[in-house]
Amino acid sequence: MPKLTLKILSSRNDYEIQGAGYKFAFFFLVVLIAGINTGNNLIYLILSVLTGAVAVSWLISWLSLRSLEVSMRLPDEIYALEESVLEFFASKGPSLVRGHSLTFSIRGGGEPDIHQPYLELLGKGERKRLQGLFRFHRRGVFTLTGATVTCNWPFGIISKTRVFKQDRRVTIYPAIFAIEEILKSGGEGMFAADSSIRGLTGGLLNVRQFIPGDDYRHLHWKATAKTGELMIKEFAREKGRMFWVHFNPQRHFSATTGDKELFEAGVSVAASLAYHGRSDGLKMIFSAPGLRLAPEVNSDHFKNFLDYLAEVKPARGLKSDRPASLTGRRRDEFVIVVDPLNDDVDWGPGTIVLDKRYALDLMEVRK
Amino acid sequence: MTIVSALRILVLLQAAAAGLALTTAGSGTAATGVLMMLITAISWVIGGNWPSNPRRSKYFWNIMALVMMIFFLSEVIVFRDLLPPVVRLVVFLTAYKLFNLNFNRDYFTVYMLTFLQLLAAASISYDYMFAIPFILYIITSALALVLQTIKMGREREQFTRSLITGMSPAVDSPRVPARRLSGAFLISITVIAIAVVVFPLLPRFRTDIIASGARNPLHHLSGFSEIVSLDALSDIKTSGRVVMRVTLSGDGEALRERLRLRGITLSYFDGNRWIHSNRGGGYISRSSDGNYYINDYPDERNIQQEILINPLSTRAIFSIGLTERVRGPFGRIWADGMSSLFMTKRNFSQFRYVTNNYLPSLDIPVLQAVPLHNEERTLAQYLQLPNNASFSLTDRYQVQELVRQIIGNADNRYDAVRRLEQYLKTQFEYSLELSRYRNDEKKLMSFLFDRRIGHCEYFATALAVMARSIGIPSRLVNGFQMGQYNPFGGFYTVRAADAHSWTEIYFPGHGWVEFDPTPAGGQESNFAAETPNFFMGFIESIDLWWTQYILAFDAIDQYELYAGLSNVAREALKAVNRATDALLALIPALEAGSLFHTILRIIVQLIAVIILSLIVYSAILRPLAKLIMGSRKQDDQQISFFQQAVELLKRHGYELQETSTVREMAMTLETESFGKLFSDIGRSYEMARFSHDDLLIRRAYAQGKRRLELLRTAFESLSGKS
Repeated sequence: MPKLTLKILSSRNDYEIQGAGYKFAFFFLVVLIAGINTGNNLIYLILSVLTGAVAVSWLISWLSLRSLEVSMRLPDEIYALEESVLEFFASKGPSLVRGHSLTFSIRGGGEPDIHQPYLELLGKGERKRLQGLFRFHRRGVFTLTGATVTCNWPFGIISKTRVFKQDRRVTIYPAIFAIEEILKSGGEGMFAADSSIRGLTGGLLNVRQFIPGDDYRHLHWKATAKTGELMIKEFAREKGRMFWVHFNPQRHFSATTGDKELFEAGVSVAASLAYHGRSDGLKMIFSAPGLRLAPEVNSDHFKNFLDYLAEVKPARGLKSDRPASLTGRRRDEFVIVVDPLNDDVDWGPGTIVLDKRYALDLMEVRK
Repeated sequence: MTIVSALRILVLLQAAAAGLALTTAGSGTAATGVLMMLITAISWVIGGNWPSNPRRSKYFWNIMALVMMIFFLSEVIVFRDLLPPVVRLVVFLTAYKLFNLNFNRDYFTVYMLTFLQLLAAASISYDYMFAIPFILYIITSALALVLQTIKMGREREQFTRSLITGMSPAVDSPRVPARRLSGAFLISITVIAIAVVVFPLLPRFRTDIIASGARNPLHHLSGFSEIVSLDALSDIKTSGRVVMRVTLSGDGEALRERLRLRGITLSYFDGNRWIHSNRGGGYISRSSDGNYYINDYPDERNIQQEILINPLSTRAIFSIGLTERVRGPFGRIWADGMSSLFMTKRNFSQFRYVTNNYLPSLDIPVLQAVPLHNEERTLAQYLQLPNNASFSLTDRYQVQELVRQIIGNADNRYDAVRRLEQYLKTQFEYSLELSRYRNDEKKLMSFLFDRRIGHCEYFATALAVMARSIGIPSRLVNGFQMGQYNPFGGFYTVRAADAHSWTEIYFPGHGWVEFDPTPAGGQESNFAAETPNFFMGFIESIDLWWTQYILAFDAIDQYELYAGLSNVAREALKAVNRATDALLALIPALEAGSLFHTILRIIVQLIAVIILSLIVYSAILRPLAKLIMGSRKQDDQQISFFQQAVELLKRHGYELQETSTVREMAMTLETESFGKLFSDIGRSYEMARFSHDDLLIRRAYAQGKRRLELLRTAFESLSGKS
């Protein structure tokens, strides 16, 4: 299990002025100017107290962060745009001052949003576990430079940050969309209006009354017309059937300029198919130009495909209108091609093609 | 108590401290300060939201804001003084916030507004009472900021936790962590301690670039003026406001009866007022040793004075007698040629200076040798008398006639002037309660021939004019009497009520001699007559200390402090070197000055430094650390059962290494009959020591204690068998 544990190998300290600190700094400046202008010793006395407050803030935050050991554990899989739980383990060794008002965070790694865990007090010899949430904005492989612990004790005017440094590569998988219906239905009926879906295979299980929350695309129009009530189709999962997801990152030579957003949507669609397929326990094969991941060859082919998708970049190079990538497919294999940069490639009969138009529709829906 | 309630109490205490600071600052803001405290008390009683109806609250505060703005602008336009109106405006804003305390930002706004009030009070205060609200403000601010940090941290923690667990954040405000609050109190004391160290080190500047609201001379009403106008002093003579404190050394105490603090010498009289007319003299710059050298006088009767002066809005430098040299934060000094010294700017702040003065001896036979009339053309300005509606030529003749009657057959100047002095002292009455003069009434003539009652300026003016009327050069001196002696601090407290005027008469070959025609009742203020009781004396001493080391601490004091510390360091170094040399001299073969001697000397000194550091660490730092770490007692208590178990084993002869881990100890005892029990105690210890779950810690503590009792019982039974 890929547990990321960052131990303290090296550390350094940073000081920052916080929100209240800016007000404090402003008043410090006002008092300084008043003191210099008037030569009034009581104003100098106030200035001394403010200086004392800064010195105490510096000293105590420094002592608070001394003898601190921090390690952190990241989840096994991290998906873009999805909040993941991040665990920190903090312990405090011998020190004059206990750890006060500690905020934990990470540094580097594509600057994710993070709901930082906060620890009010960490006594000498204590070890505590904390949980925070973080969310990466995009897929990719990033380098985490380390864990940080910030202390703004006691006055919240200066925060001192200690970095527990260690470079670590983190793979962020593409964002996952709720498109598991494609797999559940085997494609039938889902995209009836979408000319890009071809060669659908069967699997209609039942027709029942519409329940709020059902996808309107699954409405059974004939039954609805007959009964006068909204009726919806239920699909049967094709147990034992092999699903083949092919991802095409290449843009046809004849195509106009590519679109990064479309490509990212396509990558997420491919990742979502793998994600949901694994969750549903489906047999799956993944492929891409120069890549074929099958369960009999790769024991962890789901993860390998997600790893590939985390880093894949768009490319030009699709020469044929009918690529040979899918040659050798068996008849019982249910093939889904994710081809976000093209809309006129013939992937052969019996293939669901989630192409540029699908990606556009998906983006529209998500907006 | 919840953090929110504690924050509310602290913010009210801050507001009260700011109000108290304004009250102690002086008459300009005292009423505003009282109002601030009153508002704080009302806010305490009523609560944080008033008026409670939002609509009514909006109307009420809008109207109040409008009224306040009109009041503020009127005050600024009419009185042309910015500070008090600004303070009142800040107090109004504070009141608004105190009655509308809802969010964290409201608290921060109150912190800022009360800080501005404290700053305003500091800019005009010179009373030691300022220290009380100041310290209160520091402590409450430190505690409030600490609680705010805890509160905001907990809110953030709850928010993050709610995101993870999906449960909404707790609505109840967390309770005040008492242990951390006591730590915060210690922190505020540390801040004060650091401030005490930093204060004398901060470089002192005074640029006067931005005009200060504290410059209104009304704030510094002292009884002293550079222009003496008859009938202008009476209100001031009753004021007990302290204007300066004087510590004497040298011959000062022996000459107490003759001591007066000379301020300004006035030579031009226009019938109603004395004006400083001398535009001669010259500027004196500071010499390299920090002194301003004014004149050379004989060494005898030298009086050294250390004067701590409060803002008087005057340029005069006060001192007793004739100044030889003076040392203080003056820039340049102007000596006017009439024995008066002036700064280049008026004093609007407290400062300290030291003067060395000479008090001429009164050799009466020599003075009596001076004839009544002497040709003194060079002193014409001191013979000037007006010829106007207030004092005409006829009046002059009338005074001349009176003077001749008084001096009678006196044939020398000293006797004649002394008779005039005695005449005024004995035949006239001193009073501060004078009825108003009519507009057409000649004040001096009325005093001499009609009313025969007045205060010191009438008497001094009368003697000077009487002397001039018969051709004796005279002038008026305005300053202070010595005031009240404080036996506790060994200094004189000079108050506004000690303001005084006297006359100086010129004696050729001798110089100017002081005469004071004011009757005895006017020569000492009510305050000077009283001897301070123990309490008042103690308070006065604190006041002096406050003025000397806080208000008047200046660049010269800093220089002296550095010089003193340098001397101490130098002497300490010398002592160390001497001690080292003495130690090395015990080695007979060692040649002083040799390389080996030098190396050995360094080694010995390094050892001395290490020993000294160890002493400081064990005697000061370690106890201090224990004091600070004292709050861990409760944590230690949770694992005390383990320590007791170890001690129990030791008492029964089992050697356990303190450095061993719990499991190592358990392994050494596993063959014993109680081995498993001790191992269990060890597990309880680990749980109590390292768990982060309070419930588990409590459970482990209870288990540990039970197992410790079992261990005791086991040993008791083993002892019984043996």
